[in-house]
Amino acid sequence: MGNRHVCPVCTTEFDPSARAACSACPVGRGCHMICCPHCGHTTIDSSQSQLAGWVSTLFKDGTNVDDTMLRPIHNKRCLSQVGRGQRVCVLDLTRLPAVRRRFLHSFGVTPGATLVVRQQNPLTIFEIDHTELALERELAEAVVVGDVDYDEAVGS
Amino acid sequence: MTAMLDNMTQVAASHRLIALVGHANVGKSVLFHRLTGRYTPVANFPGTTVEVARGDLNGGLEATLLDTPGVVTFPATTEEEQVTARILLEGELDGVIQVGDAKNLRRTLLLCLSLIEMGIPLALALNMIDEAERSGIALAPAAIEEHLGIPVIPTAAVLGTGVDALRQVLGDGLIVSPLRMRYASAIELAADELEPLLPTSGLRHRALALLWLGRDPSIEAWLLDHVSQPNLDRMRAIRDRAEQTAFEPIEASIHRSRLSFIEALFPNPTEMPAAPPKRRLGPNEWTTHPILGLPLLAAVLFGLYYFVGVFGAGTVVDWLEGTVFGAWLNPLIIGFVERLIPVPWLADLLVGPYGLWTVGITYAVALILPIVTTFFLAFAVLEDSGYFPRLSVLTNRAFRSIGLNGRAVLPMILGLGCVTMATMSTRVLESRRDRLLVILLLALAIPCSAQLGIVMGMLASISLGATLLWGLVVLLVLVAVGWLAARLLPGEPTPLLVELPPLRRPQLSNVLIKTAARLEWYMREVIPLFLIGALVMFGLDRTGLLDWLIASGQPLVTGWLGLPSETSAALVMGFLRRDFGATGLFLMGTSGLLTANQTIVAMVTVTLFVPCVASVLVIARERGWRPALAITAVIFPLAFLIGGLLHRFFLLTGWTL
Repeated sequence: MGNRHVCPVCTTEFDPSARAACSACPVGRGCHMICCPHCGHTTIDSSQSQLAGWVSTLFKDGTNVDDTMLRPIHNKRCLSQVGRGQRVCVLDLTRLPAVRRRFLHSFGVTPGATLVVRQQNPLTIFEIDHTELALERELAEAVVVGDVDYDEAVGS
Repeated sequence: MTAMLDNMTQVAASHRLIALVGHANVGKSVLFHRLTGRYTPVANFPGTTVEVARGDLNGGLEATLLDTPGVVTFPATTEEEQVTARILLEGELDGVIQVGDAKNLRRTLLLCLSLIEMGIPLALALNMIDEAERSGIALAPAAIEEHLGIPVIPTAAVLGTGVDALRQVLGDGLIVSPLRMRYASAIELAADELEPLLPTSGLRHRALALLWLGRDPSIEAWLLDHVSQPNLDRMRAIRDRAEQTAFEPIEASIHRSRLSFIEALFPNPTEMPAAPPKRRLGPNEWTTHPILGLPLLAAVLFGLYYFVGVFGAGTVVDWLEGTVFGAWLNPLIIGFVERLIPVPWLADLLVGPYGLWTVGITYAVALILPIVTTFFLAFAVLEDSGYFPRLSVLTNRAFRSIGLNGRAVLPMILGLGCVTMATMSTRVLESRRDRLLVILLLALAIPCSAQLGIVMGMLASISLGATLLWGLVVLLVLVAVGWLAARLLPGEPTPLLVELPPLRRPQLSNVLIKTAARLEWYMREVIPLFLIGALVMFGLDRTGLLDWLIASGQPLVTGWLGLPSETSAALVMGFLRRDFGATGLFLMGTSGLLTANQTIVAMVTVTLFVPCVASVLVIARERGWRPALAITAVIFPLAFLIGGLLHRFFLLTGWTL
C-alpha cells in the first residue's frame, strides 16, 4: 500500500516508481518530479525534494507544496469493507460490469470521487453529493476505494 | 452572456417539437404538467413498451412537448434510455429542455455535456432549487449559463417557481451551445476519422462518433440500418484501434474528461455539508436499517394489503359487484337487452352467463377497477414518498434466494391484489430474465385477492393448521420453482443497484393526478382483454367444448387428486376467473361434498392452477405467446402434480385434519 498514487487532474491511479512517462521527457529520469502517464500532469515527489518543501513555506498565502503533490493512497480496500460514516475516495471501478459502471459514472462515481458510507447491511448504502445509492455486496466488493482523510487521521 | 452568444444558432420561437430530457426522479413529469397544463395519459412509443407522454405547450406557445423516460446516462443501456436516445436520434426535435436536479449539479452537468455535444438547441432547468437552497447549496445559474452557453433557469416545478421564466426562454428560442469538449488524443483522432463516414441524423456527427466509440447500443442499431457495410467495417476498425490505444475504456475516458471539465469550472459544485441535510420525515437511515426498518416494512406491507386486498378487493368490490352491478345495473340491462334483441344467441353474447356485459364489463369495472384504483393510490403514495426503493433494499436478500433482486417486491405484492396488473408492473424489472421469472411465479403461486379471500375463509373454517399447511405448501412451491427456474433460465441474476431518493411527504395533487392518468391507461389496455376473454368462454360454451373440457378433466380430478367429479367444473371455471374456481369449491365444501383433507388438496391445486384468462392474455401481450404458452404448460401439470402428491401424502401418513 502507499506505492500507488492518484493524479489530481485526471484521477488516474498509477505507480510513480514505474516512471512510465519518463521515456518521452527530454529531462529524463531522476528529476524529483512525477508525471502522470495519462494526462502528463507534473507533480513534485515530496519524498525526494526537501528544497521544494522549504520553498513552499515561503508562500504562506499562496500555493502550498502539498496542494501540488500527489496524494498517496492509504488503506486501499473494497467499498464493502468501509465502516459506517467513513469518507473514502473511489480508486477503481473496472471490476464492475460495464452497465453497472456506467450507472455509477452517471452519478459522478468515478475514480477520484469522494463518498460517504451510510450503511453496510443489508446493502451497502453510500452518499455522493446529495444522492444516496444502494448496491449489493458483490458490486460493493468490485469498487476499490482508499482513505481521503489520511492526513487528518495521522495528524499532519 | 449575450455578447458571447451573438453568433449562435437561434431557433425560431414557433418551433414544433421539444423534448423534456433528464434523469429519473428530477421532476420532469411535474414540469411537463406545468408547461402543458395537463398530465397526459401515456402512449406507447412505437416498438417498445416504454411510454412517452405528449402535450401542447400552454401560454400561447405553438409547440408540442414530449416527456421522455428518465435516463441515467448516454451511452444508453436501459430500455428507457434507448427510447430517449431514439427520440433524440430520429425524433426531428427542434429543441430539448434538460430537467436536472439542482442538488446534484455534477450529475446534472454530466448529462448536460452529453446533450450539448449532440448539437441540439438546449436549455437547462435546474429543478428542485428550493430543496437545494434548504440543503445550503449555493448555485450560480448565471455562471453555469456563461460557461455552457445555454439558458439556465432555476425552477421548483412542484411550487411553480421558474416556470414562467422557462416559458419565456421557450418563446425566445433555444440555443445550440458553441462549447466543444476535448478528449484524449486517441478518441479525438478516432472521432475525426469517423465523422465523414457517418450519415445525417438529429445529432452532430461528432456526437454520433463519440457514442459509436462508447458502444451505445441504440446508436449501433440505428447505424446498422443507415451505413453501408464497407463503411461499417471501417468504423469498426477505427473503434477497435482506438480501444487498443486508449488508456482505459473509451466511454470511461469520455466520462472522466467531462467530469474533470465540470470540476475545473465548478469545484465541489454541491459539496456535502458537514451536518446531514435536514430530514422532513425523520432519518432516512431508519427505513433501510436491517432491524429498525423491518417493523416499518411490515406496517407498509400490511397497510398495502389491507388497503388493496381487504378494502379495495373486499369492501368496494362487494358493493360494486353485489349491489351496483348485481342488484341495479345488470337486471336493468339484461331486461333491456332481452326485450330489445329477440335473437337468443345474440342476447346471450351480450348478457348471458359468458356475455360481454355480464362477464367482460362487469368484471373489468366491478372487480378490477376498485382493485387497481386502490393499488394505484397506494403505489402513488409510496412512489411520491420515495419509500419504494427502500422497500427493495430491505427485501433484497429474500428475493436473491429465488434468483431475483429486491425490485421484484412490487409485482409480488401487487399480485396479491390482481395478478393481471402485477404482470404488467413487471416492466419495472431490469432484465428480460427477471421479468419472465416474476411472471412465472405470479402465475403459479401468488393467489389474487379475490381468490385469497375465499381460500382463507374456507380453510379458516377447518383449522389454523389447515391454513398453515396450505401456506407452507404454496410457499415451498414458490421457493422451489423460483430457485429452479433461476438456474434454468438463461442469463445471470441482476444484482441490485438503486438510487434512494430522499423521503418526502407525498403531495395529494401528485398522487391523485398520477392515479387518474394510470387508471385511464390501465382501463384502455385491460377492458379489451376482458371482452376477448368473455368472447372465448362464450365460444367454448356455445360449441360444447366447455362441457367436453369438464368431462375430460374428471379422471384426473377423481383419480389423481381424489376429489369428487364436480370439482373439475370448478377448476375449468377457475381459468375464467380465479375466484370462480375457489367459489365453486367453497359451495361444495359448505354442501358437505369435501372432507377437510380434500379441501386442502383442492385449495392448493386451485391456488397453483393457471391464473385467469385475462392474465394469460396479458402475459402474451407483455412477453409474447411463446412464453405465455410455456408458462401455462409448466403450471398446469405442476398444479396437478403438487395436488396429487399432497393427496398421496395424506393417504400414506393417514393424517386427517
